[in-house]
Parts: sequence; C-alpha cells; structure tokens
Amino acid sequence: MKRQGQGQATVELALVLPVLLLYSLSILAVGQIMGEYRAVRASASQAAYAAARAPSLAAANAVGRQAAADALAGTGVQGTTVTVEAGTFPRGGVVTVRTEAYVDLGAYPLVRDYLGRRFRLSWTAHQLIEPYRSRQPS
Amino acid sequence: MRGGSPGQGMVEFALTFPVLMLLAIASAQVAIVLHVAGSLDTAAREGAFQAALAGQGPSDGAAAARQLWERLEPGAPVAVDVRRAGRQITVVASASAPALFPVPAPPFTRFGLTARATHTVETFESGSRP
Repeated sequence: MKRQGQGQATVELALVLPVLLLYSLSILAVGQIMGEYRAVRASASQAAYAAARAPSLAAANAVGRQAAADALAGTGVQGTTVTVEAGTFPRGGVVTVRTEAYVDLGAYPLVRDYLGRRFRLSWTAHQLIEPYRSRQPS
Repeated sequence: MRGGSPGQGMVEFALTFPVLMLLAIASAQVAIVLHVAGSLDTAAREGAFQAALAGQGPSDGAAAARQLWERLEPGAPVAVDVRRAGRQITVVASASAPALFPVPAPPFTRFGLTARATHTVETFESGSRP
C-alpha cells in the first residue's frame, strides 16, 4: 500500500461497493417479487377453481372475485385488477380469470432503476366449468 | 500486486470472502423459502380440492393436504385448518422453511409461511347433463 498510495484501496472499494450493493439488493428484490408472484398466481387459479363450480354466472363472478381477493390478502402487491370471464356460463365451458398487479420496488435503490419502480406481475388461469354443476345454490 | 506488499492479496481476499459467502447463502435461502412455499401451496390446493368433492368433507381435505405435504417435505411440521363457509371450502396451511444460517434472532431462525386455497363445494343436481 505504501508505494501505490493511499487512494488505491478507496478506489477499489468505490468500484466494488456498487456491484455488491446491487447484487445483495437484487437477491432481496427477486425474493420479494417471487413471493408476490406466488400470491398473484394463487389468486387467479383459485378464483378460476371456485368460479367454475358456482351455480350461476353472478355467483361465479362474486365467488371468483372473493377468492382472488382472499389469496392476495396480506401480500404487498398493489394496483390489483381481477377479471373473471365466463361468457354465458354454460356447462362444459371455460372460466378465465386474470389477475394483474405490481410490486413497488421503491425500497430497493439500484434495482428499481433497471427493473422499474413498478414491477408488473400477471397470471391467467383457465378452468373447465363443471359439466354437472348445480344451477340451484344449496 | 505489482507494487503492493506481499500479503495484500490475501488480506483483501479474507475481507471479501465473508461478504461473498453471505450473498451466496442469501440467494440459496431465497430459493429454499420459495421451494417450501411451492410445496405448501400445492398441499393446500390439493386439500381444498379433496374437501370440496361430493361425498367428502373438511377432514378428508385436511388429511389429503397433510399426506401430500408429508410426501413433498418429509418430516416437516405443518398446521392445516379447513373451514367451510356456505359453499366455500378454505384451507389454510402453515409451515416454516428452515434457515440455512440460523441466527438466534426471530426473523432468521425460521421463515414462517402460510398458504390459502379456496374451492367451491361440489353439488349435483338430479338429472343434470353436460
């Protein structure tokens, strides 16, 4: 260190620190994103499951929205939109549920600059409408 | 190394190594937590599916969830709660992912996870056709 000057260690640190910081913040951000993505997927697929066995179109919409909201309760996702599409709800038809939301990456300084402050997540689930579903709510 | 003292490289390595190890452990930890979360989701969904089948009930769902969990994460404890509200069956499964590097401070000892699955109970209408 004596011959190369006091500045070298500082320069090296200045070069390495942003990289290490970016790396460690990325691990945390990816961990959070994957955790929220899990909730978004669960939201769409459970809404589709629940809606496909509902007795009527109105019930399918209500139950699907409820299931989607339940799956997202307590998570950090924001700006959620859930669409339940079942046409006329015929037996043997298909229910499609799409959940869209975003994760706010504001807490991750460098990561938000390259991933964007709002990291968008979405999932679409399809479920066969029960061919033998009841039309009478029980 | 041209002008530095002989041991400098080693000292720098000794300083950097723990930091790099910590980052490697952190990435592996994230992967483990997500893996266990996936198992828990699968078990809860299977439990809700089984509990909602015609002729089966909440206890069948809880048993199915426990059985699948045991196959996915052998020996790991799990709490399964199955509730029926009207036509909806909800399974709430709770378990925890092991910490790779257990620090005796609450957030780092274990990572608690919860999975919920909701299903509509199957009902048949007599004489129904597809």
